[in-house]
This record gives sequence, C-alpha cells and structure tokens, in this order.
Amino acid sequence: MKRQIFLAALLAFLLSGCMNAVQLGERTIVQAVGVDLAENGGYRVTFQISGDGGAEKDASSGVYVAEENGPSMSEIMTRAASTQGKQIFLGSCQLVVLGAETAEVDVTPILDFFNANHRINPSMTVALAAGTAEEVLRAVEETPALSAQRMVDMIRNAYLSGFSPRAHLMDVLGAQENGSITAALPVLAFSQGAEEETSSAAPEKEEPPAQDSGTPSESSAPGKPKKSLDVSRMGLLYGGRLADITDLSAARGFAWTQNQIKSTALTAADGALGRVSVVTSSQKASLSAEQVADLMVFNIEVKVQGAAMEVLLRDGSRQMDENEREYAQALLEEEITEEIQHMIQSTQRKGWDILGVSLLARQRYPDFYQSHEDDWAQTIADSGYNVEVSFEINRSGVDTANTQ
Amino acid sequence: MQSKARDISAAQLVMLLFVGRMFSLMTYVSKTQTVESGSLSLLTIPLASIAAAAAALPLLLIYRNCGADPLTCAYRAGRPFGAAFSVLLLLYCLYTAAYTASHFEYFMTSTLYQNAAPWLFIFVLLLAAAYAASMGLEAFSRLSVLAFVLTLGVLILLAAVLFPQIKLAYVENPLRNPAGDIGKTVWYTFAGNSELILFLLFAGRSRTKNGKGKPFAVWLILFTLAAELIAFLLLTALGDFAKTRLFPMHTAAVVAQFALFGRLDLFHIITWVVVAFLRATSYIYAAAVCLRRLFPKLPFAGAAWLSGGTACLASLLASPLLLRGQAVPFGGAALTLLAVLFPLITLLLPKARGVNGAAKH
Repeated sequence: MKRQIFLAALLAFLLSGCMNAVQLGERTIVQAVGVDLAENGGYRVTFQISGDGGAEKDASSGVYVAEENGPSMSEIMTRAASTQGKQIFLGSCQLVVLGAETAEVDVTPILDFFNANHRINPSMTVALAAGTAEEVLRAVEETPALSAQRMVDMIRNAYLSGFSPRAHLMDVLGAQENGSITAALPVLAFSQGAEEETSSAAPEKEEPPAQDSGTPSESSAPGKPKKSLDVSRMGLLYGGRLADITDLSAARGFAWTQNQIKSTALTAADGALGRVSVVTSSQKASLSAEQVADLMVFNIEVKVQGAAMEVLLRDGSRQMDENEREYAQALLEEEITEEIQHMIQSTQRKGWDILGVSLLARQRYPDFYQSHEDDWAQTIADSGYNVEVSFEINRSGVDTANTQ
Repeated sequence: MQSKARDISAAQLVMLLFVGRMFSLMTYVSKTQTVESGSLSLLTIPLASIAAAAAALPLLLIYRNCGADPLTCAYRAGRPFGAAFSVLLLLYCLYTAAYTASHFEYFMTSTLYQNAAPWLFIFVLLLAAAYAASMGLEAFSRLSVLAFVLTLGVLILLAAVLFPQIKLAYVENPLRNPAGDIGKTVWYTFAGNSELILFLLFAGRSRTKNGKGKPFAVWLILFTLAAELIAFLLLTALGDFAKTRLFPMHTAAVVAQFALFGRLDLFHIITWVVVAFLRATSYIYAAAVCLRRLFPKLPFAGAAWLSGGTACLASLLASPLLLRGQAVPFGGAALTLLAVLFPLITLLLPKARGVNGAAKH
C-alpha cells in the first residue's frame, strides 16, 4: 500500500510538469475591448488593460490603454501579445464596445471571435459607441473613473432605471442565431453641454476634469462645454449590422416591456393637475400573440406601481385627493403608452423585432410563421400592436397632510 | 488486489447508473451528439426512456426466472454462446471506456486547457480508473454516492440560478417535427443508454429484496427527470445562443452567477471529472468481469489493468474516430444486440434456467 501511495504521489508530482503554467505577471489582463474599422482595412482594436503600462501615464485609474491594428481579431490578439510582451488574457474582459462604423459593416466575425474564446464569459456586456470605440475606451486616460467596470455599472444602472437596454454577448449572438430577432444594445455617447437633455441619466454621469487637447474627449477648459459619457439610447443590431440608433424615448418604451425597471422617476404634469413626481416600485409586462386573419396582433400589457414623491398641485396643495390621484395615474399611463408606441414605431414597424414577438408567433402559430418566414421582417412591420398600460400610485413618499 | 467480492446496495447501483448516464448529458456536444437540442428533446427523452424500459424486459426476466446475471445464464446455455456474449460485451465495455476518456480529453482541451497535451488527460484518467476498478465494485460504488450528491446539487443550483432567465417562448410543440426526425432522435437518445450494459453485469451483485425491477425503474425515472430538467433549462434559459456553443451545459454553468459562489462552472467541472472517473472505472471493471469469464485463471486485478491499458491505447490511437462513432447508429445497434437480443435468446434457451430449470432468487 505504501508503495502505491508513493507511486501515486510521484506521478502527481511528475505529471504536473506536463501542463504549461502561466504566471499572473506574464499575462496582459484586458478589461475592455473596443473595435473600430482600420483605415487600411481590417480592424483597429483598443484595449483597456489592468496595470500601469510601464507608468507612461498617470495610472491612478489602475488601467492603461493600448491599440493594435490587423486584418482579423485573432491576428490582432497575436500582434498585441507581441507588443505587450505578454499573453493577452481575455478572461477578465467585461465589456466589448463596437464602433458605430464597425457595426454598420458587420460585427459577426468580431462576436464569433469572442464566442469562440473559451475564457470569455458569455455574460460579458456588449455596447455600441455612438462615435468610435477608441474614444470611449480612451476616456479613462482623462477621466480615471471611466474604467470598464464603471462603464458596465453605468449600463447596468441605466438598464435598471429604464434608460437603456443591456446586452450580453449571449443575447446578441442568440438574436443573430435566431434570425428573426433584432438585438438591442446600449449606446455609449459623449454629450457636450447637454446636461438637461440627459438629466434622466444624471446619477450615471461623470463630470470629466479639464482635459488636454488632442485627447478623444475634447478640451473641457473653462468657458467650454463639459463632456460626459451618456447611456440613454438604443442601438439595433439586425443580421450582424447596425440597423438604427433610437432616441431615449424609444429606449424607455422598450424598457417598459422588458420587466427590467427596478425604479425610475416619472412626472405627471399639466395645467389641470399641477405636478406630481412618482418613483416606480414595481413593473410587470406581458406579451401575447393572436392571429387575426392573415395578420399577427401582439398585445403588450404593462402594469406599474409607484409612490408619489413630490406633489405640487395647481392650487398649491401638496396632498392629492382620489380624483387627482386617478387623473395623475391617467397622465402617467398616457406617458408610458406614448413611449411604448414610439418604440414600436421606431423598431417593430420597420421590421426590427426587438421585443422577440417572433418567438411567440412561432410558438403559438407555427403554420403562420412558416408561411411568412421568408418575409418575416415585413410581417412584423405589418402586425398589430395593442398597448395597455395601467399605473397605480399606491402610496405617498411623505405624508404632507400636516405641512399644507 | 480484490480479495473478496462484496455486493453493493440497490441504492449504490442506482447512483452508479445515474452518474454514468449523466456523463454524456453534462457535456453533450450540441451539434454532433445524440441528444437533439431544442423542444424535440423534451419529447424524445421520455420516449427513449420508455424504449429503454422495454429493452430491459428480457434482462429483468432473466434475473427473475434464472436467478443469475445474463452472462452466467448464457454460459449455462452453452460455453460457445457464453463466450461469444462475453467477447462482445468486453468489446463494448472497452469501447465505452475509451470513448469516455476521449470525450473527457475533448472537453478538457476544448474548454479549459487548450494548449495541453491530449494524451495526458486520457492517460491520467484511465490510469486512475484502472486502479479503482482493480479495487472492486463495492469500493468505487461508494464514490458514486458522493458523485450523485454533487450532480444533484449542481443541477438544483443551476435550476435555481437560471430560473429568472427562463423564457417559455422558446418551447415549441415537438410533435410538429417530422416523424422521421422524432424517431431518429429517440433512437440516438436510446443509444446513449449504454448503462443498460452495466445493469446487465452489475445488477446481480446488488442486494435487492424485490427483484431488480425496482432499482432499474428508479434509475430510469431519476435520469429522465434530470435529463428533462437539463433540456428545459438549456432551451429556455440559453435560447438560440445554446446552438452556437460546443458544450451548452457548461455554458449554462458559466452564465449562472450565484452570489455565494460566483460562477457555477467550477462546480460543473469538478462534478464532471468525478462523473467521468466513475464512468470509466465502471466500464473498465465491467470489461474485467467479461475478461475473467473468458480467462477464469486471470487475477481480477490483472484483468482490470489489462482492460484499462487496452482502453487507454484505443483512446490514444483513435480518439477522433471514437468521438465520431457515438453519433452514428452503431451505438444503438450494439446496445440492442447486447442488451436486448442476447438476453432474449438466453431467456428462450431452456438450459439457461439452470440445472432444475426452476426460478431462483
């Protein structure tokens, strides 16, 4: 028995030498990858990498940025490994940013590259840059807070607040594999002096410090408008290509249908009521499909509950009665319905099925789906969409009865 | 090395069979393997289990009427018949052990260690498996309890974590598939039930009070439920993305984030390594049993090492061939021959029932 144990220990010791060990210091730990089109063909890839990159720049963010060009993603990774003098490790990569131009061409080879890499988590976030991906990833050089982790957090919070979709690698590839579904991507954009326009995403915004000229983020010296990274739109990826970038209202309309909103603020205001600001506490959405003659009709039902946090009625009162509450609820229902309808006009009516109703149609009416499969995008565009929203203000944030 | 053959309990037999059958499910290759992905598998898994139950009837009848395992009964019917049965069983068990090692290596070099030498995984797995097989059935059956608990734990965790991601819209009516496709998928899924051979050889060594039918039924029901759960999770939580991945269940474990442990793929891999080890051990042990029937004077430990060595050689030399072989109907045909036809013929031969021809228990 002792001989066997000795033999087993010896084998374990000797066989461990058969596997190549890689030390942490021999790896370039990539946190985010940005892909743009190179001027001479192929791709221009920007890496956000953990470490100080030899401390060439201020490394207060703990990351540095590197860039590599090449005809394919695989070749770029090989070149980057050579440039960095280390293995490129993508296991910690949290974010892939696709430049707008790149997405207009075809992102399939890029996404396939990431899907084929066994170290990459399919839950990795994929986002679209309104301009170039390089601009987004290089922002960390001037604003250390804009690391990959921070941007992923921004996207997540914008998603939970209903300002943006959130796309994982698996969602985008799943939509592409399906063929009928359009993937909705968050859009990362720099806004200049547009605080009011994007005020809804205010908690996410960074106030960048003064920047050197020549950096992707233009100078924000005194007297010039400040720039901030903004996540409040929605990119539509259909068949591997960028179909469109919608506005904030469509992004919110989409969010209402996805059971994603944890908490968001809405304001009901008009001349008859005054102003009531509400923060939602729960949201439920359901989709159903029915066939009417040679047409599909999709029913979207959204139920929202929320608390009135700020009330300032027309007569100066800060306490709503039942009629005013119902009126405020009706205004909020109308606002949400409009956002959903706007989203439908911007996406479904153009044949881009971001709601995934194709799955419902295929499940419930397979014969219909099969007979229209060749022209499915047009079928989606021609379908009927019934939107029904109910909003309940079920509590007040503060009891203002005694403060009037 | 195996001084005295000790029996195993019915529960250990069930767990051993369950764990062995889970091997192929835990890392099934979405595009080439026997189990079809998608809604069709939700139908074909129970159908294949019903087919397996029907296929096992002759086996169960042998245990009931002849009072011994089918191999012993085959030898009673005539030495050439018994020897032919033994040789075919031996080849099947060696093939399955080699296939297990090849698949183990394929998964390891595809997902974890892409630059590692493939032979290393085959060699280490079968070396350990041959040693465990030489220790005897009871010894490695005890490990099956741990593997069973681990497997169930991983399954429950996966189901709980992936539950919020489930989209029922992915489930479609499986009956819309052409009858030919349904039949083919049922056949392929049935072909994956190679544990019928283990039942054939091991059930005689299990302590059961009410015949062998009950542990068989428990195994089949447990496996069917687990397989249905996995198929449902992969279909509804991963959706169409599952079709783009080589090992969808591993992907599900990577995607599943559990607050306490983080990613679940580590648990999946640990469990799968234990499961692969147990499966390889079981088939090497079964091959050794057949070898000893052919050469009774051969020491059992020697038979186990010889079986392990042969399986290792087969796996090293023909790894790509073995992986492809599982996808062709060969597996189902061999299984039908060994688990259905041979036992059926044995059952019909009067000599197989023993000297008195009386039923024994």
